[in-house]
Amino acid sequence: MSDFKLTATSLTYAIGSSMLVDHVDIEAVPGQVVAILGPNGAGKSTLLALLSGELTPRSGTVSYSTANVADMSNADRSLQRAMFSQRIPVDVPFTARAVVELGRFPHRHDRSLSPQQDKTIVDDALAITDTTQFGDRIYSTLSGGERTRVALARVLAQDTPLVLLDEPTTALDVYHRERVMNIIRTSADNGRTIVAVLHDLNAAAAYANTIVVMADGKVKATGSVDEVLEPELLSDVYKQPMAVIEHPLRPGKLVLTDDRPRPPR
Amino acid sequence: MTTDTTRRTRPGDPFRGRRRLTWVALTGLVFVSFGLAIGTGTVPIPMSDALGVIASHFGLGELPDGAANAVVWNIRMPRWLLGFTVGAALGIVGAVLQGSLRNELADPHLLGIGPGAAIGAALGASAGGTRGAIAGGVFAGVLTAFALRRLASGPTIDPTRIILLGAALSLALGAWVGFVVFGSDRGSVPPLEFWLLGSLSAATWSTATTTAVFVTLSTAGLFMMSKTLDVLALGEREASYLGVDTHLVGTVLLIVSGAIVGVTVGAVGVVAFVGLVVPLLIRKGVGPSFRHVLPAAVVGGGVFVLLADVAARSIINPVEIPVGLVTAAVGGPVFLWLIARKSNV
Repeated sequence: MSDFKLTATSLTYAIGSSMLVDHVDIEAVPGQVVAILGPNGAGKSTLLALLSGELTPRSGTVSYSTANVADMSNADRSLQRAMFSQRIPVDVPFTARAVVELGRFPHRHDRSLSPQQDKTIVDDALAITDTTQFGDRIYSTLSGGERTRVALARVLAQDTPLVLLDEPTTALDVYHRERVMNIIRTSADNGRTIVAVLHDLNAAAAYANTIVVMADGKVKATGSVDEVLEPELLSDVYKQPMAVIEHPLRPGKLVLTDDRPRPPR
Repeated sequence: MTTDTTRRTRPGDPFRGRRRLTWVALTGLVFVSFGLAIGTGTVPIPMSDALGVIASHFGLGELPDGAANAVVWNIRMPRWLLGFTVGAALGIVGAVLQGSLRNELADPHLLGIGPGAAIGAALGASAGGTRGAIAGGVFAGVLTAFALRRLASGPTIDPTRIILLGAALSLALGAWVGFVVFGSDRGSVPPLEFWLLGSLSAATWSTATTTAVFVTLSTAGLFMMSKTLDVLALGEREASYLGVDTHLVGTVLLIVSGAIVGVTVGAVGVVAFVGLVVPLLIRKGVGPSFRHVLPAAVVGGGVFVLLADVAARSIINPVEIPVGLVTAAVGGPVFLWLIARKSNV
C-alpha cells in the first residue's frame, strides 16, 4: 500500500463548450489528505469523478501508481479506490452491517482471504466509525449522521489504497463532523491516500496536508495549508471578504468570513 | 442464559427467526400443494392409490389399476411439475427484476416481456405445436427484453423509465397477441384466453420436462448472481464503485429474464401477478439478502401457482377456469395490501 501514488496530469473535461475541469494536475501519496476546496460549480465533484474513473477525461490522464485508470476494468478500479458519495439510496433494506459487508464485494474472488479475515475487516470498519452498536439496525432507520458513518465504514471495508470522498461532512453537526474528519485523518496516517472535496475551510485547515483551491474548473492554488489559505485568494475565489488568523485553540490557521451585513451589489 | 449470550454475539441478522418460520411454512406448502395437485380432479382417486401409482414408477410396489395410472401419472404429475416450474420461474424472475430495477412494479408481465413472448409463442405454435410455442416464446421474450433495454438506453438504466416504457409495451403487445391468434388457423393455435390468462390443462411430460430443465439451469445461473444483486440495491453508482459493470449486468439480467419468461409463456401462457406478489411476500419473510430471497422465491412461486391451479380446477366445478384469473384475483388484493401498508410505515 505504501508505494501507491495518484497522479492526474492535465485533466480536462467538458460538456459541449463549457469546460468543467480545465487542465488540472494533482498528485497524492499515502499518508496524505488532499482537500479540494472551491465555490459551488467550481468542478470539484467532476474532478473527483474523473479521479475515480467514473468519467473519462476529454484529455489528460489519471494513474493509480503506474496503471492508467482509463484502461482499467471497473472491477480492477474497485480494488484500488473506494468512493464515498452521499448517493446511497435512503431506502436500502439491509442492516448497517450488511451494507458495510458489501464493501468486501470487490474482494470476493480473493482466495488468500479467509472469511474470518473478511469479518475482521468489517468489524474494524464498524469499530473505527463507531457504528458497531447499530450494526443490526436497518440502514433506512438510521439518522443522517449515522448513515454517513455507515457509508464511511463501507468505504473503509473496501480496503483500497486510495479513498475519494465527496463532501463527507455535509449535513453533519459539529460533533459528527469532527468525528468523521478524525476517521479520515487516521485512515491517512495508517497509509491510505485520501482526496476529499470539502466545503468546510476550517476542517481542511485542521486535517489536510495539501489543499487544492478550484474555481471555474481551474486550480487556483495548490500547496500546504499555510501556503494556500491566504485571505486575498479566498476572498477572490469565494467572492466574499475573508480573514485568516491564528487559531486560538490549536496551532494553525482559522478562516473567518466577513459576514457583516452589506447592501446587495 | 447461554443461548442468550451466543445470540447476542452472533453478528447482525434480525431476520433469522422469521426466515426459519418462512421456510417451515414453505416446506409445509410444498407437501400440501403436491397432495392437492395429485388428489384434485374430475376423476376421484383416493390419495393412497395416487401415491401408489407414483411409488410404482420409482420401482416401489405394484402398479395399481390402469385408470388411476393414466390420470395420476400421465395427467396430474406433469401438470404438477409444470405448475411448480412455471411458478418458480416467475417467482425468481420477479425477484431479480425488482431487485435490479429497485422497483416493486418490475414484474415480467407488467414490463411487457410476457405479452411480447406470447406473440412469438402463438406464432411458434402455429408452426410447430408446443415445441414451436416454447421456442417462439423464448425468442420473442428475449427480443422484447432487448427492445425494452434499447428503448430505455442511456448512460445509466433509469428504473422508472424502464417501468413506464414496459407498461406501454405490455398493453400494446397484449393487443397484438390477439391479432396473431385471430389471424392464424383456429385448430393449430390455442385461443387468446390461453395466452393472456394462462392454463396448465395441456401439460404433458414433454412440455413439463423441457420447461423444468431450462428453468433449473437458468435458476442456477441466477443464484450465482445473488451477491451482485445485493450490491445493486445500493444504487447503480455505488454498485459501479464496487466494481459491478452495471450496464452489462442490467442488460444480461433483463435478457435472461426474457428467456425464462419466454419458456413459461410458451408452455402455459401469461400467468399474471406471480412475479409481482411472490417476491414482495418472500422479502418480508426472509429479509432483503438475495442469497435468501432467490431460493425462497423459487419455492414460493411454485406453490403459489400450484395452489392457484387447484383452485382453478375446483372453484366452478366441472368448468376449469384459466389459472391466471386465480393468481390475479388473489395476487391483486395482496399486492394492494402490501403497498398500502408500506406507505403507512
